[in-house]
Amino acid sequence: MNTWIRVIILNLFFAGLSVAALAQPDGMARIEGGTFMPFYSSTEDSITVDPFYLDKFAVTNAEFLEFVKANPEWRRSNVKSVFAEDGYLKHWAGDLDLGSDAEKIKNSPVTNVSWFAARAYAQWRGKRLPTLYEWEYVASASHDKPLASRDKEFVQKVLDWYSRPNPETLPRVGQGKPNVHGVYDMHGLIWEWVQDFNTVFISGESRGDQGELKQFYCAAGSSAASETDKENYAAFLRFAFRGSLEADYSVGNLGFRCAKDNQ
Amino acid sequence: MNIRPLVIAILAMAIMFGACSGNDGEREQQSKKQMAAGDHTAHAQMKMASEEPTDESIYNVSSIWLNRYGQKVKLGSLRGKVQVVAMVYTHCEFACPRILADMKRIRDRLSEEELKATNFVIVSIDPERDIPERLRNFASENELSDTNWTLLNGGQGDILELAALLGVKYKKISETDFTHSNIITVLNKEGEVAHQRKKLDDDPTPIVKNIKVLTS
Amino acid sequence: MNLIEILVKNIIIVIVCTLAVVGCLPKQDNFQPENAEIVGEQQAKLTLPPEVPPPIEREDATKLIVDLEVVEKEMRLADGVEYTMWTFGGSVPGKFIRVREGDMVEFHLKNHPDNKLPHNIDLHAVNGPGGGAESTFTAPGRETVFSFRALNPGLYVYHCATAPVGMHIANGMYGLILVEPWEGLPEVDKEYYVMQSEFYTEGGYGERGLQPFDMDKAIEEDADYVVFNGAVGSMMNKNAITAQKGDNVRLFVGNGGPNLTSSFHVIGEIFDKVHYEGGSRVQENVQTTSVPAGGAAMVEFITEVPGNYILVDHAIFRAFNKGALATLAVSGEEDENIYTGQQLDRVYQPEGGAIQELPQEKRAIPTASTTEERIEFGRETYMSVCQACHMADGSGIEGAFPPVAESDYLNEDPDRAISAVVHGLQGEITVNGETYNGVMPRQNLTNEEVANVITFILNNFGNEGGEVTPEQVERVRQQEASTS
Repeated sequence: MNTWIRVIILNLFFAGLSVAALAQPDGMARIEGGTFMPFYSSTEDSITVDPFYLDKFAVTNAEFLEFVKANPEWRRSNVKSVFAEDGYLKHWAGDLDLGSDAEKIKNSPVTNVSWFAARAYAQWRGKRLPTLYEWEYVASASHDKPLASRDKEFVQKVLDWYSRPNPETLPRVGQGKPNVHGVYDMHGLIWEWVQDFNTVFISGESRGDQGELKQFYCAAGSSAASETDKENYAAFLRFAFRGSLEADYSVGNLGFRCAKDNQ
Repeated sequence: MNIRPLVIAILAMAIMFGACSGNDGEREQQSKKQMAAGDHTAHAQMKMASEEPTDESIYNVSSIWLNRYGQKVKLGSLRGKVQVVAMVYTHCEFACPRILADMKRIRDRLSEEELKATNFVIVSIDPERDIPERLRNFASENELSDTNWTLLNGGQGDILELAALLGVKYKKISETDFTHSNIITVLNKEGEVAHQRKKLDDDPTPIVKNIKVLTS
Repeated sequence: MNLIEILVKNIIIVIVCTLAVVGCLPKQDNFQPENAEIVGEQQAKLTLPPEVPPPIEREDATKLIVDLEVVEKEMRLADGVEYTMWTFGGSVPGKFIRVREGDMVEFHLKNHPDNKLPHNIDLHAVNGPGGGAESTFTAPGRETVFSFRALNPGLYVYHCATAPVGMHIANGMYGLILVEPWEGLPEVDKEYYVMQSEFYTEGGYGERGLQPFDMDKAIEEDADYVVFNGAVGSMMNKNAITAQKGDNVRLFVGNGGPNLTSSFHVIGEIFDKVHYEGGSRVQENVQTTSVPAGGAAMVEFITEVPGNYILVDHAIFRAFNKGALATLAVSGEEDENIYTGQQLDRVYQPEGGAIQELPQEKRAIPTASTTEERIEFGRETYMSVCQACHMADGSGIEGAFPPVAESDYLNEDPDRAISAVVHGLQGEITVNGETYNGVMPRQNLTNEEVANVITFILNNFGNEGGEVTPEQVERVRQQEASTS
């Protein structure tokens, strides 16, 4: 009898734990979803983001090291060049070696990873990359407001970071204050890949995009590339950056974090 | 400025490029990717028989697609022929009909021999509506033969991955429409990007010339 | 015709022919740059401002390879003011590019891996979409290449055209490219590269520290700084550009904007020739020429008279309040046939004359907390107030302005120097054995500033050191003006 009660209690306990785990995957913040006006909007209307989970921190060098240990095809010397160009993980000393700065960089965000590699990592963790709108929605929050993209001080702070060159080694993740969603470092640390980065229709000739794009892109110029807020230079810089990328690029300040559906 | 010297300059450059490509078919490849791919061409031909796709081959993806008959297809099954690929959607009323027409024009400029070594691929970016049945109807309406045309329906993530590999951008802009790159890509027999026509109004001559070189 | 006459005539013909050929390629009739045969290839030599690469002396058109690297870095905008510049080649304005009509230019744009942003380049010298912008959209750590034929001779601006374009330009991404005409430009003695632009900073003019870009001011076109070659004083004092008396000087003047048109003027010079808007047509005898944002001009003049010539934007508050000043220092013998210098200076006192004194302006003067700071702040005051007469090295000017370097007059009693600054000084004094009989006007400086500048002088120029405090200055200020 006693044993049975104990078993039931234990079971209830574990059930409770797993419900909690389901509600809040490890290291992720629940994003309640909402409506906002992204910088480049494909429609006249605002965009609604459904609830989802987002990593509180960008993926670190140490975490990515675990991934390449478990997945040899993503090691530097094995990776197919179609999925990652030459600079892939170039700041590491070797396939499984963070180098002499290992202590310093293990908790810093991993960079020099291609979109394909970021995507493979997310899949390995049972996650995915956030969509552009999900990322922008979370990034438009300051530490006390969910939508701060019209907040001059907030925008200027973001802009200031974009204006500064990279530090020699990236600081570790999670040093600043989280935003209202409990997510860290959406600004001020690195650029981040999103799942659909290649939906940004900015070409090199940004000034003529409206007309010239029709040659490059079907249906563009009608509504595809209408900026909703020309003065939001911070977001403008982000979109221009995404526009310059291809999926196999490895860039020194470009990393990622993962998302997960709300299920 | 006076337009005449400009025209002459463009002509002169065209002639120069023409002359170059006579010697070296790889020279006129334009995008960065293609340059990288070009280095691998000889390499690729050597490895033709082996199982493993080459490093630059898009056949490294493991995604599974449905053709117009609902049969499961891996991209690797396209290996061995030169592929001319476009990512479009069949309900498109803007550029896609034009892209298809251009692909047909390219086809018409190939010899019988070259056509045997070439296949045309249409990948839908609208998988919800472009189900195999729709693709089958679309193919018969447009007289896209079995022997030279492959139409593919795939999962959202797989489409996104292929678009990333081909440098194609696309985005759903309404319930019925997409905006997307007007790119036509030529893959060599190993599935490496060998040439791309990026703009609608670009002359099809370079792409035809490329296919001719790749099929020979 | 006798033999000597024939001989002389022939010699003259030979000389004339030689003159016609030397120094430039013969202009072919109907020269078509688009059809010029490309012979070989060459790496273009680029220069940092204010230098200009030497004229092109090749005999053929060539494939000219231009390597330009984009670097984002902190740079000096003014004394004590830093700004994160986005640069073409590590300088603002970017490196000067010199090509020639008919050349096929192979342009390599490299975006340094440590940079944060994608960049591209639009060269106004290019005939083609975006001026190259479309072909050079480059992510950090990548390189792009395109080629263009130099068809139109002239002086052209290049700049970054990546979205948001205004911000990329406002942060320093512009420079000049010269397309020499096939037959070359007429030979001159000196060539310099001068480019005007504005900066929009969060703090006002002179506010210390690293100043971020202010987007609102940029949209309002309310510039804090208007400068030549990327910083206040970039071509002043020891960095002044120089020439000899009688030199023919050519300035390649550009304007990066992003917003303002320059009223470019050199004080005390008349431009003998202006290729206005950088084109082929020449205007003569010009005082001030407009250089629009995204435009350029070539100006030429002969420096007839030695002295300092000040380059300004003659929209004059930009010059004296926002930094648009530069110096061309011309050395050589005076020539009274052209300019006499001052011939008379005497008191003119109309009835009711009163000495004008500007009200002491209210400005934030940093308060020095250490002697080191006092010396540092004092240096800035010295350079802006004292240096004109007492010279940058403190040596003064013999017979006119006494030295403050190794000065017995100063070291024996600093109060005398303080008094000279706060009350002015008139009459005979002896400094290091030399007698001076001039007038030093009283200076409109605060006690803090006087303390700083005297402390700076005491601790420099071989003087004996020491520190002067504002209280000490105040005490001297309260005393009667010394008229020893």
